Order: sequence, then C-alpha cells, then structure tokens
Amino acid sequence: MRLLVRAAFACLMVMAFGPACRLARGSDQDTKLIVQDIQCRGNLSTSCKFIRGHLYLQVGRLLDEDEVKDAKLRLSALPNFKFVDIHLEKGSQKGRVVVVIEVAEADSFTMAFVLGTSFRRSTDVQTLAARFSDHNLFGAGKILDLLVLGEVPITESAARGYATRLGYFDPQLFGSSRYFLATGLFYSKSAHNFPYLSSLNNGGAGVDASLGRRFGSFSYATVGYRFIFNSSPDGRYTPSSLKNQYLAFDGNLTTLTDSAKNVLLLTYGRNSEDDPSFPTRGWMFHLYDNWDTSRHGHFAGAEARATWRWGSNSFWTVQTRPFNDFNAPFDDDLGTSLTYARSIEASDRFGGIRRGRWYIGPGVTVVNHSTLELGMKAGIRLDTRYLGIVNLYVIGSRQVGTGARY
Amino acid sequence: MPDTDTQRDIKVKLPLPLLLLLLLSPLSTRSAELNPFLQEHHLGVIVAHVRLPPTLRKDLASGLTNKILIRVALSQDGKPLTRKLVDIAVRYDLWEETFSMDTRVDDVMVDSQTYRQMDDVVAALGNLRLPGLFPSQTAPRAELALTAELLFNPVEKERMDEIRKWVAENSGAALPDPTTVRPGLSAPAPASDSRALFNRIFQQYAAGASIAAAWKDAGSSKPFKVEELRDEQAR
Repeated sequence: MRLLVRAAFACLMVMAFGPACRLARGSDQDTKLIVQDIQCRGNLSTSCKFIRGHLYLQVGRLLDEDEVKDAKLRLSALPNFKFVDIHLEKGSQKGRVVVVIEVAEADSFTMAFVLGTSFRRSTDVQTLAARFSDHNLFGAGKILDLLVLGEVPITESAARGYATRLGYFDPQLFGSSRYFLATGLFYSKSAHNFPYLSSLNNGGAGVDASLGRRFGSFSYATVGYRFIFNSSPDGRYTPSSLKNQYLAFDGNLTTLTDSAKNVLLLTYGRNSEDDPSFPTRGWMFHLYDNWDTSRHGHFAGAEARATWRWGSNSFWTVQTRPFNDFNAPFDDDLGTSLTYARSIEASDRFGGIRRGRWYIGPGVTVVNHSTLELGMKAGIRLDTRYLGIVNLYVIGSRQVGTGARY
Repeated sequence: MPDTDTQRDIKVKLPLPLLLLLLLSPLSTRSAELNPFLQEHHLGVIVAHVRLPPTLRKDLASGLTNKILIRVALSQDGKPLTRKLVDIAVRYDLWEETFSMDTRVDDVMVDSQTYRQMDDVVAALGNLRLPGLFPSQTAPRAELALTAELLFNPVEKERMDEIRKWVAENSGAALPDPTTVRPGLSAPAPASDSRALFNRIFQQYAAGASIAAAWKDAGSSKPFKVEELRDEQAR
C-alpha cells in the first residue's frame, strides 16, 4: 500500500514538474526530429549494443538533444574510448534522422609491474609482480585479469615462492548498473629452507566468486564463497608464516596465508577515491569477514585510507589496517602509515612517462600486545607509455617491545 | 554549400590531434578582444578574435544545436555594475543545408540569422556583435570596462552531477577491485583522451563553477567612458 502511494506521488510529481524541468534544461524539443535509427561507427571490438546502451533514445520517438549531449559525456567518461562524437544524418524523409555514434576505441589492454625490496622482521625478500588486464573482454566492458607474483629471498630464512591468479570481473552483471561479479582461480607454490632441516615445499590452489551490489555512488557490499583445494599440505600442521600466499578476492584483491577450505566471504565498503593509482582526494574503507562455515570461525577486519591534496603537487595519505598485520606482497606496507607523495611531471624518459609520484612515509604495525613494528617505506610509482604502471619501493622495519626478536 | 558528409569523412581522421591541442591549451587563456559601441542609447560590445574550439566545424555540421553562452559584465573601477547573459544557438538544417543562428539576451530573442556557408558562421562567431546590452545611462561619465566569458556547449552543474554519479556507478571507480585496495599493483583502465575532456569539465565544477564547458574563452575591453562613444543608428 505504501509502495502504491509512493508510486502515485511520484507520478503526480512527474506530471506536475516534468514539463517545467524539461523547459528549465533548455531542451530543443521544437526541432521535432524523429529518431529513425541509431548507428555506431568506428567500433571494432566494442558491440554497438553496448554503445547504444548509453544513449537513452528510442527509435520512432522525438529526438532529445539534451539526452544526446548527456550520452556523449557518459560515453566520453568511459575508459573504452579515446574519442566519442555523436551527429545526425538525414533519414528516409524530412524530419527523420539517423543518430550516429562515432567512437575511436582505446587500447583495452593494460599492464602493471612491481619491484619491491622488503627488509621486515626475519623475512627479507625481493618481490616481482606483474599484472595484465583486458578491460574490454567480449567487446562488452568485461575484465580479464592475470596476476603473477614472485618472491626471492634476500636472506636464507625467507621463502621462495610464486603466486598467480586469473580473474574475471563483470562490472555490469547482466547489464545491471548495480550488480557486479568477481571470480577467479588462484595457485601458489613456495619453498622454505631451514638450517639443518629439510626444506618444506607447499603448493595450493583455490577458486572464489563474489557477487556484489553498489549502493549510492560509492558504496558496495559483496557476498561470496572461496574454496581452497589443499589448505594444509601433507595433512600436517603448518604455521601461517610458512603457508602459501594466495592471491584471493574477498571483496578486494588481497593475499591470505591462512584460510579454511570453505569460506563465506562478506564485505562492505565505500570508495570515493578519484584514481586507483594516483588518488588526489577521496577516502575508502573496507570491512570484511571470512566466515569458516564448518567451524564457525571468523577472520574479520577493516582497512581505511584517505588522501588529500597539499599544495599543487603534493599529497598526504593516511592508511590503516588495525586488526591484522598480513603483508600484501604486491605492495607491502605497514599496518598504519602516513605517506607524503609528490607528483612527477610527464616526460619522454624511459620511453614516456605520462604521470608519476614519489612517496615516503613512516608506519607502525601492531604485531601483538607487547610488540610493535616501526618502519619506513619509500618508492616511486610511474604511469609509463609502454609498461603501464610501474611501482618500485623499499620498505624496512624494526621491532620494538618485549616480544621483539631483534 | 560543401558536402558535409565529405567534410566529416576528412575530419574524422583528425580528432586525436585536435583533442591533444584542446587538452594542451590552457583554459585560462584570454584571447578575445572586447570593443564597446553605442547604438540607440544602449551600450553594446563587439567580441573579436574569439578563440574557437578546434572541433567547431565538425560540431556545426553535426545537425545538433550548438550553444555558446556569453557572460558579459560591465564594471566600474573594477567593481561589477551589471551583467547580461547572452545565449547563441546555432543549428544546421540537414535538408535546407543552412545554418540558423539565434541570439538571446537574458532569455529574450534579439537576433536571428540564417547562413548558407559554414565559413560565414565561423566568421560571425569569431567576431560577435552584441548590441543593446546595457542602457547608456549607466554611469555615463565614469570609467567603465567590459569583460566577457564565452563557454562553448556548456554543461549545467545539475546535469554534470547526474552524469558524474552515473560514471561513478558504471565506470568501476567505486568497485572494490579490479584495481585493489592498495595502489601498488592496481591496473587502472587505459588512459582515455575523451575521459580527460570529461575531467576538465568536472575540474571546473570542483573549482566552484556553476556552469562549465570543455572549451572556454574570455576577454576584456580597455577602460572607456560612455560619453566618449558615438551613438550609432541601428542597422
């Protein structure tokens, strides 16, 4: 009943104010042109259906020029195209027009590389990671993503290993602007060397899938499921520090070292950052709960980050993960950190740098109630013409407190 | 009248350089020259040497209405006295193959012209004559100045807010990942020049503008006194 009243009220409002709103927008309805057809040109891998889906016009109806201009802006904002234009052509008779959407497709393939050196606790490692993504799979804006990560020990006690993930991401599930899907297969292998003992070799694989829904402009919630084929190698107990680092998705792409076989994934978050690699403003938080349904155990936590501009070329970022101290091997950091970053101007160096930043900042990780890890991270992140995003960093830390090992 | 389809075929090959030109051109550049004139006791202005968008000819031939919004302000000793909003709408009739150019001042139609040649339209837009903007009694002996801001195909803030919301919901920016929480190995979508155009409009709103455009020009007149201007008869 309440729904019916709401609908009736909405209809009345539209009837009362709709024409006024249309006039206020300065619409050119006096042109009286009828849309005979809508055509796409210049699209090679993107389907015309996908393009036309952004133009809310119907064949046989009056041409709404405001809608055409809005559609041009909407299409221009998509990463799929480097050029968008819409024009009219004569139809079969006077007053009937063909709306032509002309596009030049952007290269949908992107790459990213990381070279990181980490001197933390007893694990000094060199990290090499690469990511290859196609952002226009099937010509419909779906994303296929391959991640490869390798760790080479600097000191003998650290593990040597690699992890991979092949992911598929549908940002508009069944054409919905609200629902999205993320799914992937992951595999990792590692080898641990111990003085005077035989080495331990681990290998494991898994699969995950999450269904998400957006709320408002920047919020989202996901529910998913993860299955790991062999969480405990050889049936032996393995401390988490010796387990594989899986590249898994639990609402965010993350690494995990400790997981049950069957896990229900629940997340909620908000992300208003304006750029994933070079944010200039906005903030994000992400709440997650990995629910081991068989043992009713929970692995929950949160992440938050905010960035703000300081002057014309400088930025401050504060980031925290208050409830856990896991490492992200593809971008190792400390639990809570404050980072100063400064822009690097575009140049022709290294084959062309489109934009970049260097950054430095201290951080602290709460290892346990009596031990803290204090450290510093510095690096440089570049958006290059040929290699995509390149991230180079060094991170070092020292433990303090009664539980500190050194 | 040249064949517009042929023109389009030629120009379609140019958008990237044109876009690059557009992107490299600073928005704040003031190139237009303003020359006041008096006509039937009203102050008008000639806006000359207008820096026109590189895509103008293609836009004019699109069959869609192109709008130019001009905010003209009259000031005395640097303080604004009054302002007028001039709205010029140019539309190409695909069948008649003519360009209609309607000029409104504060929503009142003051002029309507029809051109057969695109060159004539471009020439008219590059040197705009806007009569009857302000009554000449406005501070007749004071030293005045005129400024004008020209916006090509402007976008109102409300529309931009709607589109920005749509983009946030559809471009993946608000998604938890394909890019990751940490920026280290994020794989952002490919760089897009058209997106840069969108960002330029949005940045104007972020800077506090109530209306913005991908292409702007501005200009000002030299200081003048109304009594120094000769009153012309209407054409």
